[in-house]
This record gives sequence, C-alpha cells and structure tokens, in this order.
Amino acid sequence: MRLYLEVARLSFARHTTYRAAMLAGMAANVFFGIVRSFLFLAVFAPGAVHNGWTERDAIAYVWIAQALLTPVSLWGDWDIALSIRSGDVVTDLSRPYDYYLYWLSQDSGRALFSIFSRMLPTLGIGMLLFDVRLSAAPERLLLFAASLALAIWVSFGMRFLANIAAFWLLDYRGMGTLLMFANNFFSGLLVPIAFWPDTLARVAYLLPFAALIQTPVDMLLGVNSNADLARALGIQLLWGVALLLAGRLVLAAAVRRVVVQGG
Amino acid sequence: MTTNTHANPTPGQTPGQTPAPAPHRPPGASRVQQQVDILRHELALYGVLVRARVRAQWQYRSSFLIMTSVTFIGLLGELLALVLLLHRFDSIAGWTLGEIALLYALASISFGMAEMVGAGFDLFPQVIRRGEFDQVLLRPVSIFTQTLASDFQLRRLGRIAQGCVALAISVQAGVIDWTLARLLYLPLVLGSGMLFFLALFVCGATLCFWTVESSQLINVFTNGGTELATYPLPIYHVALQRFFTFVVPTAFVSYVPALFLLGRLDGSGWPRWSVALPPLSAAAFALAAFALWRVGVRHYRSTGS
Repeated sequence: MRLYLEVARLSFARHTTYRAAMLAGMAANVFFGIVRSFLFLAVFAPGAVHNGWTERDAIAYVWIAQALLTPVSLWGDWDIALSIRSGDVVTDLSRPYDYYLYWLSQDSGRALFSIFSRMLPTLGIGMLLFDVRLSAAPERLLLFAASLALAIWVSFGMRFLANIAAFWLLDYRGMGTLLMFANNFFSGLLVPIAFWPDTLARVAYLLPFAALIQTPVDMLLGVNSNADLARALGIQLLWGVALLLAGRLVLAAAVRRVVVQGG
Repeated sequence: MTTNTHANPTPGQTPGQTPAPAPHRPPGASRVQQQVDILRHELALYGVLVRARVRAQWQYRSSFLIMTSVTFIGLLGELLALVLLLHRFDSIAGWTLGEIALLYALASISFGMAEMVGAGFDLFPQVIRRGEFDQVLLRPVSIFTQTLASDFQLRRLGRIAQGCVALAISVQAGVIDWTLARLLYLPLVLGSGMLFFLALFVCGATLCFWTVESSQLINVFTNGGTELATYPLPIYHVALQRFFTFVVPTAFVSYVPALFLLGRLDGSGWPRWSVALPPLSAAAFALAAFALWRVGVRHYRSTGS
C-alpha cells in the first residue's frame, strides 16, 4: 500500500512542474466556458425552465463541466499505449508491483493535482465572471466529492481498456479518437443530457460516459432529488467495478500474448 | 519501376522529382520578377514534398481509412449535439438549425482545410523541443515551406467531410437563396477562412521561439475560435465581439459571410461593403503572422548539446 501511495505522490509532484502548460490549458477551458455561457444566455428565454433547469443551472453546468475536464481526463492519455508500442511495457510488467494498481496510483496522483491546479481555479473564474452559484447544502458537497472520485475511477477504467487495446492493435490512435468523441458527446459535455429527448436521455444516463461529467455536475445543481442522486452514484459505482474487472481480465489475456524479444 | 534518377540525368524534367533551382536572372530583372520566381519555386517544392507525404501515407491505407472514418463519425457527434440543442431550444438568438449549420460548416471546413495543409505549424513545439529545427535551418529550402509541408495529413479529410455534411443540412433546410454571386462567394470565404486559420497556426508556432511550454495557448483561438464561430456573433459580450472583429478577425470566418449568404446583411448593423472584408482581413492577418514568424526565426538560438 505504501508503494502505491508513494507512486501517487511522485506523480502528483511530477505534474507540478508543468506550470506554464497548465495555465495555457486553463485559458482554453475558461474560453470555452465563456463562449458556452453566452450560448445558454442566448437560448434561455427570460424565466424559462427546461426539464427543471433554469438559465442559472445551465451556466453552472458549463463551468463545472469545464472544471471537470482535466481531473477526469476526458480526452484520454496514452502513456500506457505508448509503452506497449515501444516495448517498455515488458520492464513494467516484470517489476514487483501490481501493474493495474501501479497505473491507477499514477493516475490518482495526476487527478488529485489537477483538482487543485485546474478544477478549483476554473470554477473560481466562472463564479467571478458569470456569477455561478452552487447548491450550498453541505451534504451536496459531500455527494459531489464522492461522485468526483468515482468519475475519476470510471474514467481510468475506460482509459486503461482503450490503452491496452494496443496489445492487439498496432495503431492505438483509432481507439483513442473514438473514445475521445464518445466521451465528448455521451458525457453531456456538448449538450447536457437533461436537454436531450427523454428516451435518449434515459439510455445515456445508464452509460459509463454520463458518469464522467453529467453525474458529478448533477450533485452540485439543485435540480434532482436526493433519491435520484443516490441512484446516479450507484450507477457510477457499478461501472467502476465492472470496468475494474474488465480491465483485469483483458490485461490477463494481453499478458499471455506478450512475447519478449531477446537480445 | 526501372527508370530512376540515374537513367534521367536532368533533374527538374520529370514530375515528382526535384524542380529546377530558382533561375538566376541578370541583375537588370525587376525585383518583383525575382520575388515571383522565388514564390513559384517554393510552391513547386511544396508540391513535391506534399506528394511524397501523400504517397507515404497511402502505403498505410487501412490506417488512413480507419482514422479518417473515425474522425468523420466522431465529429458527426458535434453536429448531432447542435441538432439536439436546437431541438430543445428552437433557435439561437433567432437563428434556426439550417442557419446555425451554415455557421458551423463555414468554420469547420475552413479549419479542416487549414489543419490538413498546415498542421506542421501546429506540431512545431515538438520540432523545437527535439532540436530538429536546426536541421530545418541547414537545408537549402525556405524554412516556411519546409514547416508547412512537414505534416500534411490526408486523414484530416474527415473534418472537411463532416463540415460538408453540415453544409448539406443547411442547403437542405433551404435557408440560402442561391444566386450566382452567393455561389461564387462560398468558395471565396472558405479559402479566406482557411488562410485565417493557417495564419493562427503560424502565430502559435512563432510563440515557440520564445516559450515551448505555453504554445497550447493558441488553442484558445484555433479550437476555441471554431466554437465561437459556430454561434451568431451578437450573442457575445461587446468586448468579445470587438476583439474577434478587429484583433483576431474570427468574425469574418463564419458570421459575416453567413449574413451575406443568408440575405441577413440588411438590418444586421453591418454595412453592405463588409462582404469584401473576409478575404481582406484574412490576407492582412496572414501578412502580420508571416512578419511575426520572420522575427521569431531571427530570434531563434539553438540550445546546442
């Protein structure tokens, strides 16, 4: 356990060095937040309510969603796939740690750092610029924290599977691009799932993608009942477990395929 | 494939090979003529380099086809999102789906073309970081041409194809009253939009001569700019509208051309003559970007090792 904590801590420390890149990335998040805030200000007629959402809810959604992009790494990262392509994976596999837990710890360190460096500042800027108000009830904040942790876990589960597909596919980019677009659309980033037609929305809420953005955001908006939120948390948890098992199974199958070239 | 360069001792005669070196004119020839010769020479070189890239990429046909179709299908999600949004809200500041689709198509096709041609500038941080720029400087070809040709990507056709689907939605909706002027205007503004985005890529690359780390800043204007250009300009704060008209002329990629194509120019507050602004602003912006790039190249100091 201490080993994995140490891996997470080092990963956290490693990410603190890219400060300029962090600011540049945040500028893009903030810019998208501004553009999309004006979009929702334009489409909501004064006093209009859509599916329980007011204009204020939509704008809060925009900023929380932008803030979540880096912690849940919505557009993926390909360190594992690259190590499989280069062959470094062999060294990683022969080291005396659990391969899955090792990468999970790496990712936790990264996510924790981005919560402080990207998520909170982005939210803060949104609050200043567009008067974003969050549901102040403390139990909602706790629900959000739980949901955020689950979102990062689900996201890791999906990214791990997409990455180790590189054991079979020579070019991982096809898989990566597909996952990126699916995340963009089905997470509710482009259009909140609450605004989708009912049947589509019901299906989308059951998919793992909704667990990345829509579910954590819902925790901070005052729209859904506590029972609905508990159910959404349950779905997140189920996906987390299912993806963990799937990742382990596929990894076991992949390791059997690895042939180490001598020399 | 038996004929090769050995059997053909005069380079510059067969297509696909090195074009003839820039002809040296007698000192009496005008400076303009010299510049035109140089430009023509660089264009020919660009053609050769791009043809080589395309041929190389075509060797991995399945990879190319998968990447292009995945991008195309994935980007259709963005279009579907617009459809869902307008299904829920009917219009954005009075613009219906067909009209928004036109804005989206103009932004997406211009961006896609610029990305296909000029991604070399987008990947420039890598070139600087790996010290590969020193090799570029040593070659007897213009730095600009080399960088432009360094990452021509066929697979970017996926975005252009998706933009065309958006255009088809718009045409299908019957929001454009086609006249000859509008038919000719469309390719003109797509070309200007492409030039504008190319200039942005050049600006982003120029930034790398000073700082590699924050080069992602340009994403605000490239990716963020296409997002901004998808919705009608008046929805934004006045300060944003002015900035994206006078400083970074993104307004002329989609909004102003769409006003003319949709016949909305009267009553929009834009004068009639602003139809001429898309190509003019793009050209001015490109010239400024090129000048900045030259300053950057002169500023470059290799790290050495």
